[in-house]
Amino acid sequence: MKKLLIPIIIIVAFIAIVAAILVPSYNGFVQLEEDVNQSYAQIENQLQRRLDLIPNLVETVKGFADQEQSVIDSVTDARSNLAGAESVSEQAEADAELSGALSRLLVVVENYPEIRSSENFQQLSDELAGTENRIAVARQDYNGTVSEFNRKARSFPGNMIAGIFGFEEKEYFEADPDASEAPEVDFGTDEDEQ
Amino acid sequence: MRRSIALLCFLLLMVSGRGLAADFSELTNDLYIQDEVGILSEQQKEQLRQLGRGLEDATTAQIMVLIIPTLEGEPIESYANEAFRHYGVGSEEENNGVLVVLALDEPDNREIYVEIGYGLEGALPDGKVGRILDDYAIPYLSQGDYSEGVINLYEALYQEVAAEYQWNGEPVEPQAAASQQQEEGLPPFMTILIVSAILILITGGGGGKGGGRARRSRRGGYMGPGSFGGGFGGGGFRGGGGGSAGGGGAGRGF
Repeated sequence: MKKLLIPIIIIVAFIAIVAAILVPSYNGFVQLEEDVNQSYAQIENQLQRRLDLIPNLVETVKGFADQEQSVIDSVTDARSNLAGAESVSEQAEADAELSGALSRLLVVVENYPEIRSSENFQQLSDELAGTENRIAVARQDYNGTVSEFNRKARSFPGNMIAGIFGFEEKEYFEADPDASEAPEVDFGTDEDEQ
Repeated sequence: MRRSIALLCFLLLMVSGRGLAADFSELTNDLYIQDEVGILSEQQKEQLRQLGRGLEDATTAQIMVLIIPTLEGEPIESYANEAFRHYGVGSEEENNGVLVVLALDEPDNREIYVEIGYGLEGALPDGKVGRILDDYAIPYLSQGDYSEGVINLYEALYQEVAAEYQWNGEPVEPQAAASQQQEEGLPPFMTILIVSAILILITGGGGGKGGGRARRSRRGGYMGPGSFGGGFGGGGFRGGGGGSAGGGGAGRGF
């Protein structure tokens, strides 16, 4: 009987140690994953807000400058790409593409003083700029929590716990640097049309 | 024991200063006005501080102005967001802060940005903030009249925040630029404000719960209710309440 006692104590102690490592670490993962999800929801809110603002902006610009069809189309195309994007990286790409298209639209608008001076346009572009800025902040917050999560998921003993409970590394919200270049817009013909 | 307290303070400092790209100066007076360039006179600063203290006492909301000589190349939007979170403008519960950053980089690169805390985004949506800037600040700032622009902007924002809390506040009269505004006449809220200011004068300042509170705040001086103190090394100035913001607001170059 005494012979059995020692191995039992060892086993119990071992289990206790494992649990002492496991439980807080597991809870830490749950907490961090929740943070990641929450900060991602922030990005999605702002992306949605951006999607909602663009039709108004396009209508306003069209009212004054219907001939700028190609630039307007590139914005609406980019918008529908963003609306259809699913994964984090797809959304980041589509968002960057939309930023590129929008900034080209704003460059074109520079040539139409009557658009710029319209109160409606001014308000919309403030809303859009604010939304872009919110996306930037939300992205920074999100990437911060993702980096914390991933660091934990890759270092010991987090990597074992992540393996056992299936916590996978999270994707950063970042786009290819050239995603904002939309090749289909031809600036040359644009200038000629004016 | 003393050593461990010092260590704790050091650790707290480490934690609170973590992850910030820009260095932010310590508060030199109550949070509301931090003028690192010196465009406002002491009297003007005190006038705005008084508004700020009254507003905070009544509503817990904080409006802060940060005037800096240079952004050192950082985009003003991200600088404003970092500064907002660093100083913790507004209360922690309501995130009801407003931060105005005025950066006076060399003549062609002067910018202003108004960042709105989460809790005031409804009262001050980006489009409205942009219009407030266009009406109250830019006309003066672009003429080089910085102090007038800052004071008018502060009063206009003060008015909006006070209205959000249905608080009468002290009557202020920010001057909208004459150029565009005159054709349209006075904006409705200005009319309301002037009428109510007259009413308050007639009734001897007894109108509404705001009057009494504002007076109390004037007596209160530094460190009134709702003050969180300077924390580290701020000689008893009012600091931020721990509010946060997510990048909402609007900006202009001029």
